[in-house]
Amino acid sequence: MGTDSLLALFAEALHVPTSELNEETSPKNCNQWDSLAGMTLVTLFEDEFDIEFSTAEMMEMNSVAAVRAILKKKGVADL
Amino acid sequence: MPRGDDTGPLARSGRRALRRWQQDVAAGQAAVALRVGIAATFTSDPLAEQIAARALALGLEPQVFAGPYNQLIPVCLNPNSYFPAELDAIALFWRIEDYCPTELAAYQAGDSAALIVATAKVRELASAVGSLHQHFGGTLLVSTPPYPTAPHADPRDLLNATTAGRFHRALLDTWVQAITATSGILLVDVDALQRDHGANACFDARHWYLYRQPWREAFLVQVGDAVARALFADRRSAKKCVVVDCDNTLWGGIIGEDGLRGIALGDDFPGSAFRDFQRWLQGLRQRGVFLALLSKNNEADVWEVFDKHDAMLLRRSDVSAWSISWDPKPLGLERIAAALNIGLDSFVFIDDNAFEIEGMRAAHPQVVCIQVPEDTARFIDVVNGVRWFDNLRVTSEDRQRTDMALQEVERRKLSSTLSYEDYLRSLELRVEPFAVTEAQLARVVQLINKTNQFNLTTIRRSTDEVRALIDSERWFVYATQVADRFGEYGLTGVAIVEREGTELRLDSLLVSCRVLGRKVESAFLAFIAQEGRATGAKHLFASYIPTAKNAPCAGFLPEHGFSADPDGRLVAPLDALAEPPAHILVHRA
Repeated sequence: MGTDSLLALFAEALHVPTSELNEETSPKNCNQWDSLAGMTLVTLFEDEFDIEFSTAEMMEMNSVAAVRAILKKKGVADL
Repeated sequence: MPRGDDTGPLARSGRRALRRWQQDVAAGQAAVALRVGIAATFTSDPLAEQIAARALALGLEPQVFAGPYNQLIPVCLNPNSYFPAELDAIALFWRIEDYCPTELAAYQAGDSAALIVATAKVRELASAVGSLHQHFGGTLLVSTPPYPTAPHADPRDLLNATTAGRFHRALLDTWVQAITATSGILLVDVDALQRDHGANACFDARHWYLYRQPWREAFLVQVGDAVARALFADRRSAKKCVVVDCDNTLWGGIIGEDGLRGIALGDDFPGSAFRDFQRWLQGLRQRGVFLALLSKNNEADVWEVFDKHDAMLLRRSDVSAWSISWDPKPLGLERIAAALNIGLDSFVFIDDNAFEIEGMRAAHPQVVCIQVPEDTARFIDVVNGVRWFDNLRVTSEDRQRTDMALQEVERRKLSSTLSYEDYLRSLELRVEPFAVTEAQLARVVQLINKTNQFNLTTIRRSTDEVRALIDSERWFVYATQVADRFGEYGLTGVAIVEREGTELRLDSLLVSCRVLGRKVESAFLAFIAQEGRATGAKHLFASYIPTAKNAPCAGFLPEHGFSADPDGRLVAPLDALAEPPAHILVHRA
């Protein structure tokens, strides 16, 4: 799975084109990343990669880069 | 519609379809025809999304607004202040552990009086729903409360049947009785859906703790689907006639070959599955659906089964029309339609033969066709899965006829429904404002950065920035605690004021959605005015900066007497602001 595919999942949850997303995208600089989108992101990644986040991990999911790091830590290959 | 965890992909595809639809609406290529407002005792945005997605899948053209968190009674008494548009439907969801948490805990600890208190609260909620029903012209749906689960109760507790279990049953009964006493309020049985899905499988502790949203997405889809079907059933007429084949549909085997003793119908499988199907058909009859037979048979053979087979549940008198001959079935169906004088689009056709099903679909595409599954054990599951006979009004009115006396009692209670002012007075609200110190800094900064709805200016600040304001002579940072007779809401409001001479400027005023709808913000403003007056200030300047989410406070400043000065700045004299609402006790902490 390449970078664009991860961003595509973000685009799906946040309803934002991938072109407007980058590693620094976060709830602070992206209006669409509200708590509903946050919940959607969690479910989307869990379905897509067949994993389960801990509550601590969910709380750390506050930027694209942070999510990528968590997914890597959880052994999601080829990000 | 799948069940259980199979609904995951459905949630995702539904969300995608919903997004496309919303884009079409935004682009003016589609128009919303169904506006629904929902409110719950928990965070309702994800549920709103799934209701919209399922309604869209049923061909409704929905827009669903998520109302405030845990504010059902205020929403009932004053819906216009919570939802942005004229609504066609309102749906309300509640859980015992959110609405009666202290009573549930007390009852589990052995305090039996807690059930009496909780029952009164449930009646109060039903009374508010009754009041909403009187004033709201659209469809009104309310949920049943699901079984209380972790972290508030554990169904595996050996004492559960007499503690949380009894508490739930009693409140569920009270609620359903009170709601059905008023004709026309629709009940969505979230309690039953939770059983079907599994109470434990419904719950997601992480989402509960982080977002105050208790349910897994697979269950949100199930609830969304039930609500969407109820809205659908309330708008479109249900199918009027079920047309069934006889051999291998009403009974197992072929009457013309196997004879009366040879067909399967009775207590043992597979006969029991066919008998259950007949019972299902009887249920439809009682709800006013016509039953017709469409069979390739000798007519006398079929009636012999009706008249002579011990295990037949259906009677000849249950059958409104029939076509039993060797003619093609589409032709037979036309005869039945003519006899009953209803359109072909009112029929559901059930047959075991794929050829007959395909033939009917080709000849009359408007007829809904259901094939009996190969595994007869799944028969009832398949027919139940097809919701073409969903009809809300008939059953609820039937039930009402049976308990008229009870209804009358409840109605007399509802005739003296709560007004919003009465409700506010009954809350015994206490607002306890104070000047913020280092001890409350973390919570204050959190509120400043996450409050969206009631936030006049939505100015976000870091911990260091707020600390600098606290230390400054020129700035005042206030916060407030809120409590009422239901309990403590904690630190739920923040205000930042800048002072220059006799002029105050309201830099920020924000109140957590947990306490919205109670005029807490007005009481907080009165406190700020009193504080300002005590230091010799005369006027308060303020501004409202609109965002995508802070519409709830758009009218706040004009409502409190702020008007534009010659420079166009909104200002009000402190003397006019200093009086808090009569139902709130303001006490400086």
